[in-house]
Amino acid sequence: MAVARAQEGDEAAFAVAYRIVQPGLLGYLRGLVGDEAEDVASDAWLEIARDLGRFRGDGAGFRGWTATIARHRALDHLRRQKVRPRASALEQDMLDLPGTHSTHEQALEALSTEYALELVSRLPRDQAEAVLLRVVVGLDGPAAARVLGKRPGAVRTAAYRGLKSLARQLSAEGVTDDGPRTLGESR
Amino acid sequence: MPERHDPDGRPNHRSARPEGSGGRPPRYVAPPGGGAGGGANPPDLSALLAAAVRVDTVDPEAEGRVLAAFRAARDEGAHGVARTRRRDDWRPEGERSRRWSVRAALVALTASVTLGGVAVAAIGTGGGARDDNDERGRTRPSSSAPDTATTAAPGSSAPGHADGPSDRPSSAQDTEAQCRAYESVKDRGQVLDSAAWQRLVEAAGGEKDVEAYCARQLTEAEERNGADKAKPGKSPVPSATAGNSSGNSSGDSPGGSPGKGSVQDAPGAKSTNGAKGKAG
Repeated sequence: MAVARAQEGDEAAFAVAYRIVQPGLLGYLRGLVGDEAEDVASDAWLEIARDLGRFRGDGAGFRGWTATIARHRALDHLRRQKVRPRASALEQDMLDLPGTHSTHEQALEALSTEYALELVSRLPRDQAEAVLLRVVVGLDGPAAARVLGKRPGAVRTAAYRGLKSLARQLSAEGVTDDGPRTLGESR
Repeated sequence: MPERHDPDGRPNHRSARPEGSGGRPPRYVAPPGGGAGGGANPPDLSALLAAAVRVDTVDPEAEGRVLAAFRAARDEGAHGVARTRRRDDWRPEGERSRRWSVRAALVALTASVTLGGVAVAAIGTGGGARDDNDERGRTRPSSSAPDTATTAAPGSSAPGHADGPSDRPSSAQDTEAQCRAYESVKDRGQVLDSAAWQRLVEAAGGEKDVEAYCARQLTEAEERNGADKAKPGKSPVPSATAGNSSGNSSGDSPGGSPGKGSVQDAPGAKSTNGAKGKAG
């Protein structure tokens, strides 16, 4: 297993673990802190690299452990910034309106990511985090609950409600949507 | 994230939206049942969400920094010595809880030993203080011995204390109290070894001089107190009258006596005295 080999000092194995974990971790952080996600992820990975020897567990455990570290870094960041995560995502959305992208297709693809983040950021915080940890990071229920410091039942409910709410919003906007969706129109 | 967008075409087949098959790929499709049935179709939504939010492009620069940090930590030996905290232990539940229960037991043991030591220390000091009080207290009830009773009675005559309790320095008070107690414990040799008694003996200038010293001290105390009564020290003879008078006087001003440590004992001495007086 990559993590175990990395703990024995294998740099290539650590690179493998990084590439497996980073996409979901960065997505989760984008949901939490918007466009500061890269910086926060960088901080988190420095801590992960330093504390790797402390970790005990398998690959799934490594996902949960790294998510916990990333979450703490994100919350530190938010405390420093005194900015609500949804506000930061919102500002980012406003800056990233299509039109600055080179092709129509790229604009749509970029928008879809931003739009997804915007929908998630409209959810209550506990639902948004539960959905992101379950769906984007790929944690199971107990692991997500441990990351959030909550009971598994509470996190399961939050994830369910979050997804249901997202589906409802999508269907509602789907009915009225008859053109390329932009943030300005969706508001 | 180009490779992630290929699967996005899949929902087209399941899409209930006619316009979803239009000119753009529908990232998000309404569940077939509409809003009410939204919860019925979360897997599709989850896949879409994951595809949209995950960041599958790796920034080589960021990766380079992370790997450099990894090498630095490894070469410092940080990975070998770091202790696993509870939050670092992500092994399956059973394994983890067994391991941590052992650790928890050790922590509990350490804590109990530490706290136990503190408790014993507290008992040690508290007990010592209580012993002291007991010694003093015991002498008063045991003032059934005639001469002790007579010495105690005048000293503890309530009016004197009521008039000027703060006039006397506390050391004099202590000496006075010790002298009274001394009467009753002097025959018990080992008690005199204690530090307080040693001080008394030292102040007196020798064990055989303690009685004289105490007599002096008590007389002085009387004189300090006794402007009101002008009682002549402590001779066994006025025992009965002293008992009566002190009983009377405390009856005159009962409010003055309680409060001071040495005074509180007066009732005991008094009652003994009073009984003696009546008996005699």
